[in-house]
Amino acid sequence: MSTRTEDRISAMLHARSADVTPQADEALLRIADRVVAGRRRARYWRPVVGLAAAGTAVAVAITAASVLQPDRLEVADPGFVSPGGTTGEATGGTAQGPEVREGWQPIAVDEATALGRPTAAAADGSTVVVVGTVDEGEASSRPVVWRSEDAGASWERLPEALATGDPSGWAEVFDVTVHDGVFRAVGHAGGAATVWTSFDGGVTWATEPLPGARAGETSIARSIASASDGRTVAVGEMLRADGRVGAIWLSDSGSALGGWTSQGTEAHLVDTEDGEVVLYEVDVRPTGGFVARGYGQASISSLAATWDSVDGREWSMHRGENLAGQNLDGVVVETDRLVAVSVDGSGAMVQVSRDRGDSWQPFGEGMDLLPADGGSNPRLEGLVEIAGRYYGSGSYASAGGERVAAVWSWRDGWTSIDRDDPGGQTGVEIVALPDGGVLLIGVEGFGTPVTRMLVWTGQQDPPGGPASQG
Amino acid sequence: MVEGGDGPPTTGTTTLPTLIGNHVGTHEQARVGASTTADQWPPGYLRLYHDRYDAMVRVAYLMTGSDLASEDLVQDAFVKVHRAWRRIDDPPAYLRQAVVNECRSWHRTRLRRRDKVDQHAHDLAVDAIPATQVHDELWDRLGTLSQKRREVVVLRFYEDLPLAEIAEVLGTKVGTVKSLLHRAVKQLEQDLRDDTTPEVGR
Repeated sequence: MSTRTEDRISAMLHARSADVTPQADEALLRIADRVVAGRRRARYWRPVVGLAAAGTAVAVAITAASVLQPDRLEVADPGFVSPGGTTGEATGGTAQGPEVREGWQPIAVDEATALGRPTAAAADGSTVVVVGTVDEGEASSRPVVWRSEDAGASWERLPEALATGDPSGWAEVFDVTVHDGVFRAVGHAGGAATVWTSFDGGVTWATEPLPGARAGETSIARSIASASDGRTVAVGEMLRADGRVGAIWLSDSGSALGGWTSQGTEAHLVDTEDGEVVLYEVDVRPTGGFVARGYGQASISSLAATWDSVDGREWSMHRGENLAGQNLDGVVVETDRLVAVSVDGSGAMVQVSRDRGDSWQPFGEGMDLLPADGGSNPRLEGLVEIAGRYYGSGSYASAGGERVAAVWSWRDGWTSIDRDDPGGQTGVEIVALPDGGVLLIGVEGFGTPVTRMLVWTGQQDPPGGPASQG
Repeated sequence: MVEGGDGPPTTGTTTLPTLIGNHVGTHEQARVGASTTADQWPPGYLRLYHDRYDAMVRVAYLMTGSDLASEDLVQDAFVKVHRAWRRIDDPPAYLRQAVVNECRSWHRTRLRRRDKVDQHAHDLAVDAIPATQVHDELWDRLGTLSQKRREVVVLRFYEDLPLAEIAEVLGTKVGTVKSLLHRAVKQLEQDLRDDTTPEVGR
């Protein structure tokens, strides 16, 4: 072995190592967020949820708030070529760039009404309910509700609607769903998992703590879904002294209050000695039953997984053998398959499973996400299925370097997330409306002391449009 | 639904800024100050972080070639170190192994993706590198090595680890490390020789 070559290699490595300038202080804060709050990606990646439940499609994306310009929101159709037949095999992407179309218009919401940080939305007819959190200083936050009765055209803010009964002033709401006209939201109040229920379109809400946490433990409900058979499932986690465990709650009381039971945690969710499990999302399978997604932490490997249940009581865990080291950052549950987004440090990949999550196949090979007139560094950040069409949301860098929020749509789809914004970020939620309209809910100024809700409106593509021509 | 929770799921009282002092700016304190408690940081964890974070990011960069991914991967590794802290005998070694594993996962995913998004990201990354660096031949050659050979090269010639320790990190035998290293250096030598050999007959 040549010493001279070795010296050259060593010199090169040391020289090239200066290419990166680690941001240690910021990184530690992000690690802290993840260790304590369970966030999964810290610096460049944010979680994303794609969730379609009970006829109302909901998705979330996070983009850079500091550069978000509502009047520049664009819709791009990349002409994605969908997988053929039902094999789930990947097919080629498109060589044609997306067509940028106008169509999304911002809805003005006055500053006082918009105050807060929306996290989820659901629509029942023209009634739209958005839930979120108002941050008050370093240690206090409280849930807030926005509602609209005219499909998002006008909004009212209900800062006291979600009672917490918690004197600590620390409460958050993470998800909302609607079924049979009953809105249910989940989160926590003072570290106790809580469900809020509204029978009047989000005006008034009943507060119910979810059972199962031991004394002194923190429990958090992160997602909720209601099935047509009257069962409702909430998922989340419990923070125990020896680690975090996934948590599942079930109510079979239909539209009535009460009936919540804890469906256990680690007994059927962790099968490793030192495992931890966090459940981030639950959805209803169109043919009945529930699918949850999350990840398990065993040793130094992160294991993405889905959980499947017919009745909400007995759950089976499915770990895709080819998902080692990855997370599932968004899952859309369909009749015969799961469409998921897995994210790593370089980007996102969409995969499809037809065996309830035991194995996954890559879905599509490529997408050109940039408009024909330029742009760079596209970032897909959210996925939602509405009426057979997938919508991805995210952003790209304009020629001037600013990030522009964007929505992509295609017939069979995937989504991704990617961002390197140091502090500000915007969540964008897509909600289907019965008249063919679509609402996007965003956050402006997240990470700053003042956050506000942003709203855009658009129209779904009509049948026979680009979606059906892919 | 925005996932992951954006608030402070803890009931402790001692905040992160108290622990890391001047390493946190005012804005960051306001952002997450209440969200992390002293009992979340085992003794020695922060020391390990401050001693090794930068170095591990550079190792991840050398193993992946992606400055964007490197910090992310190392953060992943530190989260895993935290989770396993109680049973770790040698935190620096465990951290290094976690970083290597994260880099391997990153490579596996990239190999499977090979899509336009990936290519686009690569193009962007190349665009961001100064022209003088783009033409760093040896660096380019490093990218042609197999992942295992690249790992060995980085651990040996950047981390300056003895072969036995490299073997431990990679979970293999010393003889295998020797073989990988020998072949890697030979490959790099050969590549460079090919590039510098004058063409005949022109």
